Amino acid sequence: MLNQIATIVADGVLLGLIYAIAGVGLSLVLGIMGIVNVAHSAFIMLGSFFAFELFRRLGVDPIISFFLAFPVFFAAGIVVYRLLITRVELAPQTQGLVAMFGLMVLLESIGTIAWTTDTRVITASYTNTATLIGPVVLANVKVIAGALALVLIVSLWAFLRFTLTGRAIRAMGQDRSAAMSVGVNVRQLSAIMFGLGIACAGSAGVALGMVFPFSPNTQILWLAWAFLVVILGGLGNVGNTLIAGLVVGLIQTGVAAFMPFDYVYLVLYVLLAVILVARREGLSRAVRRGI
Amino acid sequence: MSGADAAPLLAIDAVTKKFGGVVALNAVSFQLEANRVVGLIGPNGSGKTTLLNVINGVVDADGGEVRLGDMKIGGKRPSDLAANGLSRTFQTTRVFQTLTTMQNLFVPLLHRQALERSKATERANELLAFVGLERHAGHTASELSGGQQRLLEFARALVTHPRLILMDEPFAGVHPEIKKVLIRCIRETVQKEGASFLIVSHEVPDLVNMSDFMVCLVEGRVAASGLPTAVVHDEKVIEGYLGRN
Repeated sequence: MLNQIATIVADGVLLGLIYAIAGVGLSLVLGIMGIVNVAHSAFIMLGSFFAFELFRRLGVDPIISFFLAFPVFFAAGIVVYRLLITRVELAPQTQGLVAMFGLMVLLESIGTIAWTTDTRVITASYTNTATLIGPVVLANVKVIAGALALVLIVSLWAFLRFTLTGRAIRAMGQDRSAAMSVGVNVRQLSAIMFGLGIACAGSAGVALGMVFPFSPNTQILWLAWAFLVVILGGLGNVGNTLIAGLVVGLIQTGVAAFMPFDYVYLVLYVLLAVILVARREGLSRAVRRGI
Repeated sequence: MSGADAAPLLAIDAVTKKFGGVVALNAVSFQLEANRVVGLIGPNGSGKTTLLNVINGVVDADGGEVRLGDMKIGGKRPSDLAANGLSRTFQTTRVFQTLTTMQNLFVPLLHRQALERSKATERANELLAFVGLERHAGHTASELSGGQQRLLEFARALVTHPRLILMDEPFAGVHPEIKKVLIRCIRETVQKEGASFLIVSHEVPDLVNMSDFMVCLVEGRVAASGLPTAVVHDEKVIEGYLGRN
């Protein structure tokens, strides 16, 4: 029994790390820029296919793709910011939401045209192997994806905490017009922040693609998971997003070990409702806990 | 404050701003020269903060023109204006709450040249000592009292050596000791750094003492401008703002 619990906990932690990176970009973009980027999961899906194509065509290991995805999706994020976000970021939030929803539908449609709705998997050399650590059996692919996720989260946290640009981004998230008035170019920083959010989505997509089967339309499922992590953890705070990801991962593996998998959703969403009611807060107050 | 041959530091010429049917600023004109303190007074709703927002680039004027030195302000972003030597503080203190006192002072240096950034710590320490917050350098801004946050916001406004600092109600709700520190710092900044201030305040006696020039707005118009002692005795100012008692 103890062995089983140890395996459940270890598995939950690794899954939680992956969920945390799925949510962290969404959390930062929403918390700091106030943009509800529902297209976030579409970029996660594209990240999975990015790794899939690099692996299939060029034999590039997903571990390398994880790091390649970051600058590629960062650049994509900057382009989306310049072409789309600058037109809607100061408009009422519903306009931005509609624009991001349109982008999500567009990206999913492009994904379906390019790759059909067939489910894909990335089968690297370590995909079906496991490591025995004492009594705990761990799938190597989850250990690798979890470690990559941890590297990304720690790097992002360090960037926001210790660099001048990161601190200015946090300042902008707290008070955009005060930041402007002291000389911060909020357009430039917003572009960087949005780029980082999409870069996180791309890399998260690679990590998720290493562990789970995927198709263009699984992005909706990931959007739900990412929002769950974000709402549990609050917005714009990397540390809280990590903790929320770990909670979700542990609940998933814990519940799935003893009940049918469908109960995982029931438990998670009941927990979400209880937390929101207990804290008596909505999204706007969740923002203030972050950044 | 006009009449100099060189362009004034700030020239406001017939600035008009409407919000719907409400005329917030109606052909407001005055100038501010370098190395001066200008007091801006007037009743609530007279357009003082709106004027600061227009000068700061937060709000675009509907008519007229504002120039900072040779640069026309219309259409410029606040960050562009900050890069050209304009800085400000706000009616309600707006420091970055989760950053430390020191980090608050570094944020304005983000887009500055490497040389200026390399001296950031030196400049920040100098300013913290200047306003008396050196012991709080490592504290997050949210840990500071309201008055200390006011001083931090003032120090943050000075970090980039601005030519002109706009201050909106800097003395409102602060302890008299903090007010003394602020007044001393404003005077020393004018003397030592050659900066100018445009200060909005209802603390008229203090403003009269520290200003070289004063402007009174009433219902969006300049009711009077000139030497502070003359402005506070102007009939229009007494009638529109100060009252006879």
